[in-house]
Amino acid sequence: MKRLLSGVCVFIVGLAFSYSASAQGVPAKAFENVTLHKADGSTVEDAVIVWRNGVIEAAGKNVSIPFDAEVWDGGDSLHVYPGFIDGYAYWGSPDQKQFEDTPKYRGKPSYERAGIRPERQAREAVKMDSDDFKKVMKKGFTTAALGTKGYMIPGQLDLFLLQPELQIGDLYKGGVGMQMQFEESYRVYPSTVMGIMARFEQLMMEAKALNEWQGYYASSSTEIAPPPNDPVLEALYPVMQNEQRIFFKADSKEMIERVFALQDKLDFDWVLVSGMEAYKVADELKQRDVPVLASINFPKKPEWKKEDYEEEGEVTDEMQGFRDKRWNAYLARYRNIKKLMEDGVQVGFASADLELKEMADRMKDWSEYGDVTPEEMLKVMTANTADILVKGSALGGLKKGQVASFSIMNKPFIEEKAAAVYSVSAGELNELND
Amino acid sequence: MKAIKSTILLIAAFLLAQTSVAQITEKPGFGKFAITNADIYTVTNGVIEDGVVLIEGKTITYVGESTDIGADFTQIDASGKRVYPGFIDAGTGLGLQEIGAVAVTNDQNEVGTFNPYIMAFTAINPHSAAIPVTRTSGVTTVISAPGSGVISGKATLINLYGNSPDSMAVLQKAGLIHNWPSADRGGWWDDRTDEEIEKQYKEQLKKLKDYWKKAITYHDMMASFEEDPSGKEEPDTDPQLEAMREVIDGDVPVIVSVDSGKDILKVIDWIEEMREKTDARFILAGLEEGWLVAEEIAEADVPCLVGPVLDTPPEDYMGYQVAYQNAGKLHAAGIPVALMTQDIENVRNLPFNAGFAATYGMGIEEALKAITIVPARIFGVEDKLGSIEEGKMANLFIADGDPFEPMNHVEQVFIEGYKIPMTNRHRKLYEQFLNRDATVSE
Repeated sequence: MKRLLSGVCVFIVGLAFSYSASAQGVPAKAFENVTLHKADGSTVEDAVIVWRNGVIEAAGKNVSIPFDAEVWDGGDSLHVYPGFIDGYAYWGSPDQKQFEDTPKYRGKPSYERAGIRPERQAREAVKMDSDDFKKVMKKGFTTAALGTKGYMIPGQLDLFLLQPELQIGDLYKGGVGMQMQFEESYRVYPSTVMGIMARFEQLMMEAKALNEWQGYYASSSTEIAPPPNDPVLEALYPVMQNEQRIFFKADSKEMIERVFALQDKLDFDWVLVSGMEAYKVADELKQRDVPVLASINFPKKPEWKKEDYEEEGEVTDEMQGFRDKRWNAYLARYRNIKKLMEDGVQVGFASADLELKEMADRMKDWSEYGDVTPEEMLKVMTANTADILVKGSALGGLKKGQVASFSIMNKPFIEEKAAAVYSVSAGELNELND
Repeated sequence: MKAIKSTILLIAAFLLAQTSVAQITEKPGFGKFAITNADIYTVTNGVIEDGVVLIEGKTITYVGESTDIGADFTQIDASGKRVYPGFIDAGTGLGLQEIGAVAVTNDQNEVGTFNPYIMAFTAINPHSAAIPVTRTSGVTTVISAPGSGVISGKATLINLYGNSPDSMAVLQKAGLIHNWPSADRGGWWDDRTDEEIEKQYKEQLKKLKDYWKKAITYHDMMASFEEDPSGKEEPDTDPQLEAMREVIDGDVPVIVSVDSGKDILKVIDWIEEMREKTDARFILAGLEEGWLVAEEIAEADVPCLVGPVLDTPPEDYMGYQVAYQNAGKLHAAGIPVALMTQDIENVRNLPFNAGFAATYGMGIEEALKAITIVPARIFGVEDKLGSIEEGKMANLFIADGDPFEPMNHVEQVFIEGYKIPMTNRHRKLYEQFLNRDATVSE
C-alpha cells in the first residue's frame, strides 16, 4: 500500500513537470484566414498565426491550430504585421520642464537645472496611463523605446512592449541607451551649442575621475577621503566604458558632425536619432558603423504641391525654377532613409519629435516620395529597429519563437485609414475598436 | 514646447537652406589659376605692377613680374586692377550668431563667469548668411570669439569658406577671450554710487585674480607630477582648470578686452605680474582709450587689436575723431596694431574701418598691414596668411581700385585657393530691387 501511494505521488509530480515543460498549461491563441506580412517583405495569404505564452508558435499556410487554441477568424480581410517598433519615442512623456528662475550661480547650476539627467529612467517619468499608447497601437506599433523630454541629457531610454495602459511588467529592457541632444538650458550653463560640447567633455572627465577615486578607495584602506555619492556621474559610467550607447538626437549635417567630433575625443558608441540630414554624411556614418533611427518628421508640403491647390496667376519661369529647387530639397529629406539604406547604413525608425496626429500624413509622404517600397518601410519599422535597439532580440518578426507582438490591421498599412483592429503585445490580445 | 521649437528650427533651417540654394547656385572653382597684368599689393614686398600671381590648389606658387604660364592654368586678366591679400578681421562673432534678436540663432554668449573650456570653433555655423556677405568684400579670414563673463572661452581663427568648422579653421584655438572688469560707470542708466562701483570693481578683480591663482596652482601641480611622478599621488584632473593650462603655457594667447585708460594701466600691471609667474602671452583688445596710454602699452610690449574704428567717442567731451585716430596713435607709439570690427553682420565694413584709420593718421600702407600681416603675426600664422607670397595660402582678392574706397569693387575673391562665387544675400537683394518697376499691378 505504501509503495502504491508513493508511486501515485511520483506519477502526479511527473505529470505536473511534463505539463509545465510543454507549456500546455496556457491555452494557445490563433488568428486564421489572415494575410501575413513578414518582416522580410514576403506575404502569405489564407494564413494562420498561433501564439502561446507570449511567443509565436507557428505562422503560415496550412498551420494546424492546436486543440486548446482560442481562435479568431480574419475573414480573409485582415492583415497581420509584425508590430512596428518605435526606436525613440516621447509617447507618454511629460512636457519638457520649464524653468522660469534665474539661479544665483548660473555658471554652475545643479544637474537638474542644467538638464543633465543620465540617471533618470523613462519608466519613472513616463505617464503610464497616457492615451498615447492606445493611439500608437492603433497605428500598428507594439513596441517602443520610450524616452523623456528634456534638455542636454534627458535620461535613459526604456524599451516597452506596449499596452493601452502600461505596467512596469511591460518593460522589455531598461536602459537601452542614454538620451542626448543639443538642447540648451535656459539661462544657465550650458546655454549654447559650444557650452554643450564643453559640458559633455567635462562630464566625461568628471565621471572618469570619480570612477578612479572609487577604485582607489575600494582598493586602499587608508589615507584616501571617501568619494562623494554622485548618481549622475555614476550613470555615465556605462557610456564611458562603452557598455551603453548614447542615443544622440541631431538633425542637421553640422550637428551630426559635432557628434562625430565628440566621439573622436571621447570614444563612445552611439546611435543617431532623427537625423533628417543624415543622408549628407551617410559615408561617414557607415564608416563609423553608427546606426540611424531615422525620423519621418518631414516638413509639410508646400501649398502649391497639394492636390487641391488652385494656381491663382501665371507661374513664371523664375517662380517655377524656384519651386523646382525647393521641391528637390524636400525630396532629399523624403529620401533620407532610402539613401542611408543604399549606402549601407543600418536604419531603423524613430518618431522622435513627430506628433502623433501628424504620423499618418508623414507616413503617406514617406511612402509617396521616399522612393521606398512598402516592404522596405516595414523592414525599417520592425526588424531593423529591433536589431538596432537590442541586437539579436526576438522582436520585430512573425517567426516561430519570436515574441508575439504583432498587429492585425483592417488593410495594408500604407493605405488610407489603415488601422489596427487588434494588437497582440507580448502575447496579450487587445481589441482596439472604440 | 520643445517640439514647437524643434519644428520652428527645422522649418527655419529648411527655409535658410532654400534661401542659400536660391542665392548661391555657382560652385567655387578650384585648380590652377593665373592672375595676370595686375598691380599686386603684396604687403610684405611692395607693389608689383603688371605682375602675375599663380595659384595651384590651395597655395600661391608664384608672385612676380612675369613667368611662363602653363596651358592648364585658367587665366584671369586683371589689367588695370589690383590684387590684395585677403583681409583679416581680428575680432568678430561671425558664425556664432545669425540674428541678434532671435535667441535660438544666438550661440555667442555662454552663461558663467569663467569659461576657459568653451570653444567658439565647436559652434561655428559655416552656412551663416553673413559669411558670403563678408567674404565678397575681401575679408577672407576672421577671429570669431565668444562673449560674456570674465573669461568667455576660446576664439577661433577661420577662413570664410568651407562646409564645416574643420574645413574653415586656420586655428581652432586662437586666443582666450578675457574681459577685464570695468571701474567706469556704465552710462546714464547706471545709478550706482561711486563707492558701489569701486566696491564691485574690487570684488570682480579679486575673483579674477583668485581664479588665475587657482589656475596657476593647478598648472604647476600637474606639471610637477608629469615631470616626475615618482613618489607622488596623481592629482585629480579638473576639467575646468585643465583648459587654462595651454594658456598658462603660452600655447594659446590671452586676449584681454579693456577700454578705459585707467583700466588699461591696471591690465598692464597685471600682465607684468602674470609674466613673472607664467609663460602666458597677452594681447590687448578693444582699447577705446588706448591713445591716452599708448606709451605705457608700447613699453609693456603687448600687441593690440583695435576697433571698431567706425565708432563714436567713448566720452561726450571727446572729439568726434578719437575713435578714427586711435589705431594710428597706437601704431605711432610703436605698437603692433591689428584692426577689428567687433561685428557680425557688418564685418564687411572692415576695409572702411581701415580706410578711416588710414585717413586719420595711420596711413594707407600701415592700415593695410593692420588688416593683413599684423593680425597674421599676432596670431602666429604669418607663414600662411597676411601677404601675397609664394608658399602661402591662396587667400587674396582682385579689386578695381583701392578697397578702402567705398565706391570701388571687389571683383573676385580666392579663399584657400577656391575661386569664390561673388554672390550673397545683399547682392541678390540689390539686383532684385535695382531696376524694379514702379507700376503697381491691379
